[in-house]
Amino acid sequence: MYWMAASLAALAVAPLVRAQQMKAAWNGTELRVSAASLGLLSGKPLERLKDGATVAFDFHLSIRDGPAPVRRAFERFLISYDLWEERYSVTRIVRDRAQRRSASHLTPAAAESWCLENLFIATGGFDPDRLFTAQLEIRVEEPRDSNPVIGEPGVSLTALIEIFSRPARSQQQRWNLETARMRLNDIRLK
Amino acid sequence: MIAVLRFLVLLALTMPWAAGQQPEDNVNSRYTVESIELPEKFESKLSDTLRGEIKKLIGERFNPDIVDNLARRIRKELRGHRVMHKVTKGAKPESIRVVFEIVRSRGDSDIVLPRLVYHSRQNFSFGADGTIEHEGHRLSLGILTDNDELLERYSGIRGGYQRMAAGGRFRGGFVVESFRAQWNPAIQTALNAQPESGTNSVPGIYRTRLHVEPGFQLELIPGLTVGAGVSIQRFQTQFPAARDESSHALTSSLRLERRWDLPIHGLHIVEAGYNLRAATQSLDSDFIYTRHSFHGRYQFRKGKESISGAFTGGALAGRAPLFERFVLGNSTTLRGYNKYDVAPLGGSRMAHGSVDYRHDWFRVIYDTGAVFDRGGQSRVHHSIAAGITTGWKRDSFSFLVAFPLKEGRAEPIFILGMNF
Repeated sequence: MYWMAASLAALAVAPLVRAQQMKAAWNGTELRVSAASLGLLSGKPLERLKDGATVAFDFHLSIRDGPAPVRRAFERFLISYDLWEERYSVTRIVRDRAQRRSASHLTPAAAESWCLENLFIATGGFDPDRLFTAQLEIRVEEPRDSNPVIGEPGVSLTALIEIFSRPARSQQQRWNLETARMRLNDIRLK
Repeated sequence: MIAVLRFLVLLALTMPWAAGQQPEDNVNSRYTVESIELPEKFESKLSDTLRGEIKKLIGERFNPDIVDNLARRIRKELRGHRVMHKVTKGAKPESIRVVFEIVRSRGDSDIVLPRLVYHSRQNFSFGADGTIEHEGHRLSLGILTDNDELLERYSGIRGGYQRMAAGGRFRGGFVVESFRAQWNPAIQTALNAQPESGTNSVPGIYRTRLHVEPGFQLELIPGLTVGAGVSIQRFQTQFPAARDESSHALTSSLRLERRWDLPIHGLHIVEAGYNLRAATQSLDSDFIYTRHSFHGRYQFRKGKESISGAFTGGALAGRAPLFERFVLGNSTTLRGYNKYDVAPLGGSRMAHGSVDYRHDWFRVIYDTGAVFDRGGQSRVHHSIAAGITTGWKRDSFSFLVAFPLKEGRAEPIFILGMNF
């Protein structure tokens, strides 16, 4: 019975937390990460993509030697699915439109890799012998709820009944990955 | 607080970022819209303008922003429905079909609990409204008993009719309310203690109150609404003899609400409003007065944390009935006080501010405010309340224990319910 419960718990947590499955590399000025498969293009985001929508993914990469991050980077990537070519297109959103980058005709794995290639932390001034872990959090932007249950006038009983008569809505989808503790000098690219 | 400051600094940086999604970011924007499908029974309910704009898209390059905007407008015109859209491959190469799916999200009738509060000194306040909505017409009927908002406990029924047009941007109609009033002995004592009855004295209590208010609201631009109407009230006074009096006023309001939901920098809500009620002789009112009230509120929420700051104030000139006087010391203002201890007859001037912080289920509120009569002595009160809550929204259920911040013995006040 215990092994069954443990397996179920592991299955439930697996998509959310994938510690130790991320690798980091340092080229002397920037820290980048890579992962075998993030599984971003699955489930609800994939459904929305196949319906022709643009789905935004927010990436937050941080390095920390305690609970608080010491360096971090945020990026937003917009992914869409080409209905005719059945391939993905990714755009990295930046303030300066001239610096926008995008790639198309990508497989799911290539789209994920492209996002990670365009995400980095500048390491200037960071002691290369300092121990740290790198954490990556990815969140998918949720489409707005068109029918809020609780509005300004008060609680709607009809909406409450609707809520309790349907399965619980899953929370915003997100992924968390983490590296083992390391030093920049350990992961320097040769 | 740090997060709020961080937001202010980063707002300028993030706004172009947040609004940075361009039509060409969707790879399908290079394809041509071959057809647009909309369920027939709903298509006939849309305005000619909107139907025309939907048809105009055929033959154009696919623009997801335009399609999103059309879905929003369909949703506005078909109130109570959920509108989704899908894009699929068209019959011809390099063409696509846009399919709108429309489902009813809510019944035509509904019951809403706008208020449910227990205050350990003022007892229960409760209201429930039922509404029936059909093709832009809305009828409502409700019951309530409220000892929180005004000086009196008013109990009775209310109903109304509202006509919505222009995609919900225009709302016109009327409200009818009939209440019976009950009074705390502190009010009668304070009335008797008035030096003498004159033009500046507070009028007496009443037994019943009938209120009819026709009016309209118009959303000028998204988030900015103006309103105007006429408030006709007739009430039966108790002392010195039972007789009917009237208080008729012109009303106008201005309300602003804006939201910014930024992916990394949290949700920011700004609200502001101004109300004016002017009772004049030309409306055959027994009371002549002008009542100004305004409020402002800012709320920030990120993750499990939420903080809001609110300010409300008002001024009353002339001689107005008790229901127009300002009150502090209830479930939304000076939560550590009983309104009958702060000012049993309310006041003609009022200012109140509060800071409400929530972390997950924990909630703490600081209130400060003063209510007084023109020319009278103003005393600023402070109170603090802490407790548990089910969420960050104003409508969440909360249980609070509130204390006045003052010298001497302070008794706690317990508040339970929602909408405070």
